[in-house]
Amino acid sequence: MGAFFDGSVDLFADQPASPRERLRRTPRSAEALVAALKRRDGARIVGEVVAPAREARYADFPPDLDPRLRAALVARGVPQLYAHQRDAWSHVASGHDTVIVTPTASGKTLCYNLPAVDAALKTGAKALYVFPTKALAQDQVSELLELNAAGRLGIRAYTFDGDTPGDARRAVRTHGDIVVTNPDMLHQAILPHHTKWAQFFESLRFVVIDELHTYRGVFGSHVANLIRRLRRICRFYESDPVFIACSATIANPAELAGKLLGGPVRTVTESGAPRGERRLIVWNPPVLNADLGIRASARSQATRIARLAIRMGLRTIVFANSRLEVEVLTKYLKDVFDRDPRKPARVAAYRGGYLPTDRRDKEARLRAGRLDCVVSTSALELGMDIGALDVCILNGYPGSIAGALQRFGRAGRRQRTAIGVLVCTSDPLDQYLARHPDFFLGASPEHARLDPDQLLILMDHIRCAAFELPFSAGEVFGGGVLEEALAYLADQGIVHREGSRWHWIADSYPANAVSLRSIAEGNFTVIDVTDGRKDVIAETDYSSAAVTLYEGAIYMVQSAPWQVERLDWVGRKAFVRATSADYYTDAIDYTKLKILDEFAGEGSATARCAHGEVHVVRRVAGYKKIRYYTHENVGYGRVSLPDQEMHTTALWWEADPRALARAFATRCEALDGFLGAAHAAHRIAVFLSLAEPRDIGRAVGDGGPEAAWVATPGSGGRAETRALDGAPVELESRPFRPTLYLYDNYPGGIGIAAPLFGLREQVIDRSIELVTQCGCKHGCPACVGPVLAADEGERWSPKQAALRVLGLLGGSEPNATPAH
Amino acid sequence: MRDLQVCLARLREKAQARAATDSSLAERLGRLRLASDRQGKPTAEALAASLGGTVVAPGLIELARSFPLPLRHGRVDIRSGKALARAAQAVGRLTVPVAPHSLLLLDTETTGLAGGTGTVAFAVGLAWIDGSTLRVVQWLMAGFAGERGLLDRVATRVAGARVLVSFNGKSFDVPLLKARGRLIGRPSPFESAAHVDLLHTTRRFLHAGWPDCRLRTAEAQALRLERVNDLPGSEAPMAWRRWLSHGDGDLLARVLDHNRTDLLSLAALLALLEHPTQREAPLLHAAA
Repeated sequence: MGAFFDGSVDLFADQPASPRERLRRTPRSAEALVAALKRRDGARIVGEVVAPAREARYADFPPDLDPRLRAALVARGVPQLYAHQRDAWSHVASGHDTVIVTPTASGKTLCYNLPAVDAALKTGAKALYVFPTKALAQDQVSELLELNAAGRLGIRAYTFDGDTPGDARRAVRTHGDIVVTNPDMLHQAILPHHTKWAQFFESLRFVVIDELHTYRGVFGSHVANLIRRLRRICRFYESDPVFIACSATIANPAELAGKLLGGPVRTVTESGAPRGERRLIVWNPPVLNADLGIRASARSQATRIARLAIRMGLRTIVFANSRLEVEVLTKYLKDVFDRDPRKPARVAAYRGGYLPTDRRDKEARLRAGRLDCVVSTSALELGMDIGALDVCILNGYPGSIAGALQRFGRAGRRQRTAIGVLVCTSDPLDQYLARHPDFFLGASPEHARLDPDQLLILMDHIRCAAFELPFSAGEVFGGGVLEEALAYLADQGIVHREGSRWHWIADSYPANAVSLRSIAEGNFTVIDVTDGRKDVIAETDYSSAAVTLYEGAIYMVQSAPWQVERLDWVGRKAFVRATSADYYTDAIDYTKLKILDEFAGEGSATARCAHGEVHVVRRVAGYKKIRYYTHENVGYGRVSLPDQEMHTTALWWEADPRALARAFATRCEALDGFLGAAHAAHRIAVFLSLAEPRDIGRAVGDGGPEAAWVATPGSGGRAETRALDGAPVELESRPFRPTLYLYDNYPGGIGIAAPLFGLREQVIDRSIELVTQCGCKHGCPACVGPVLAADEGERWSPKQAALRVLGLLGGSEPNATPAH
Repeated sequence: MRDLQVCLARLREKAQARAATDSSLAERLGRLRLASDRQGKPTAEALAASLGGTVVAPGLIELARSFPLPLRHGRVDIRSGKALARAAQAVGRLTVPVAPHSLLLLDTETTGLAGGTGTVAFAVGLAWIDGSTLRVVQWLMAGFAGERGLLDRVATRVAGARVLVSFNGKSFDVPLLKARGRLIGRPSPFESAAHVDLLHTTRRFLHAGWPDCRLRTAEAQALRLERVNDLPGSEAPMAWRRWLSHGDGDLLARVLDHNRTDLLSLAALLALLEHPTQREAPLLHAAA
């Protein structure tokens, strides 16, 4: 993606000429879309910001650049560099690890191609490029080959991934100047066989890590350790490569890069690339029921806006936050635009879980302009070249400013205006943004966080590293547990200590047992068995499987429904059959926590807050069937799956029993309050931890030693106490110790609960603020969760109950009459 | 630190619950008892003596045996060095005649089959012709300190050979020895010799009707050899680990016996493949 590649294509080849089609033929501008939206639904636009067009800032080629490379660039239409590309060159030339943080399509690729190709030409130095996916890797190699061809440079750039055939692998190892791979390949195939790559590692000068911001959370923690192993191998071959990383805009690129790369990093943050004007709009769906605070669904609004954009000939991408949402939205849009199966599809869905060939095909169609609209999960957030789009609609806040910016970045042209619309859902955080649009529009992106010393992850990689090279006494790998870890491995007969070295002696291949994307188990494949077939149609990760692949579930691919007939849990396979059901399914799950160990705690007159280690059991008890469009609940089904268990870290609050008894007339009301408080506290915790909503789990349960019950919202709208299997548990005959838990949703924890304990007062205070400031009367999904009309007019509303509980947990006893 | 110990203890529990260990209670108790005997772990010299070998370098044990030719192995006669050399030339389709003394047979015992830099060839057996004798030399690592000596000695022999003969050595044994060599910084001695891998030949000419193409199967089917009290190759890793971790070298003699028989079978298979008719016709029809 060189400096001047525009990527505009003819959208209008082969179009029939109906009046509606003729409207499409003349693409209206994005401004016209905004004008139309304002005319029709102006009240729903609660915030707007315009980022003005930006001019280019140029710089000369570095004087010591190899002349053949310079000629190749000029031949490709690049007579000079952008300022940030020159800055990157300078940092790298002085031997500093560097991270380049500029928007999509700003010519980041040249920031690393320039030094890598130059060094390969001058000294035969080698470079390793790491991309998060195979598709991005292949894209990159094509780019390099074009540069090569333009200057007849003779540089050999190869992908090395699971698809590389055996005989080709040898050629890549011995002759590749630039090897392009992905973290999984590096982990499983390259590092454990590093002697085969000896000459490559000996001449390795650069390691390029693109899409750095994707390496956060669990995945990032694994990759940080992968890089520790890589550096260790390089030290063995006595090379000391410079790391060049590229990242999307996050608040702390230097910090993230530093943690990931294991050392100090220089940053380049000012982009010199030009960009057209961008308008960002925050859109709040209209209220349908004021008392309950129920708004029209974000889905309906996103569909509306997308329909208008597509009709106006603007190329559109809609981002949804879950695969289910992608399928439902695609269905709604296809129902309008793709009714005639004889015509090529104009709308397509895209998500992980679709097969790679399917995804490649859609990317190509997008690039060529043969798709008008794509609906996607975060899978399309990454830099895969899909051409330039005019409109980007976010169906719901993706959970982070950085994620939102990354998605908006998909729309943007050099000379034309592009539009981004955030459609708010009823989610409390979305509604918070709707009330404070400047927070969103003016915010800087969050910090990306990772924990390279997470114990389970670190252990996995110490094991892999021990396989690769024996450890010597005094070596350092991660956070100071190496000696202990090696002793533990020796006890298990995995390594053997002789003298001052630890040698691998087991007959296993550790990299096979470590998945970089999880702290557990394997993926599930979804197999279509309609009409005696056996086709793999999708793949799901372990943590999603229990809630999407239970028997009876409707599983959608490209908004076409399949029903899960049989789930082979141990074999990690789900067998599905095509169906024509008019409903979709939503799982009902219960989560029970038991406290194993308390690390620290603090009490007040009315409550106690602590953090420590817990045992979490999650059971999917059943599912709801929900009809399309009307969203009615049309039935239930049972599920029997093994429980998912894990040990993790958590933070919890318990109220003093007497203060609780004084504040609430019945235990049921108290539980309503706890559930509402948990709902709000979870949102605030996600916000304060700068995490994703799925990173933190919440639960309300019995804090006593038996952990006898969990509290869940019942179908009647009031709290119910149940045992893990869903059987009701009566409360009156036992001590009442309701506990509000917030836990790290990963085995072993991921470093959220402990710092959150440090912020416990803020969690409570901001939750109180969130609930109080909510515009509803009695409670709503935006603050304490859905409530029923029947609750209004009672003395306590769920909202009041939640505020009481939050007050107690914050250390203040409420008055006899509610203050708010 | 307490936190870590607690965590590691929990990890230990979980690992034990999850691990696919098939150790019986008796074995586990045995290990516990053995662990306490670690103070009195036998020396390499003692192990060498029990195996009928000698310590030739720190941590390295050598066993040498000689087999006068002709030698009967199974139902095959290994007639002479010249016959073996002719067979190697024919099977390997080599243009230049092979001198008997430049032939080298190779087989390794390793800690695993996965390959990669964590797999160790803890024992290597070589066989070559010396006049009218088949010499078999085996080296066994008594510890990691012996690896350099092992690789040096193997390299010396390989460098002096023109034709290497193995079973699956092209894909497994030789890449493994190259990797081990690279890890201690020595260059590969395998570049100059031609390599005749009998796995490929066996697959081409003899395999019809056999359940698989392993050396054991070829041995049973083509050589009609029955091993007595053989320790399967899959148990060799465990046998060596027991020596390393607990000083229990009881099974190592059988590992070396197994390795020696593998080498003889390799020679016998090569001898069998000398005669064109037997090379081309399935042996199922041949008289027992």
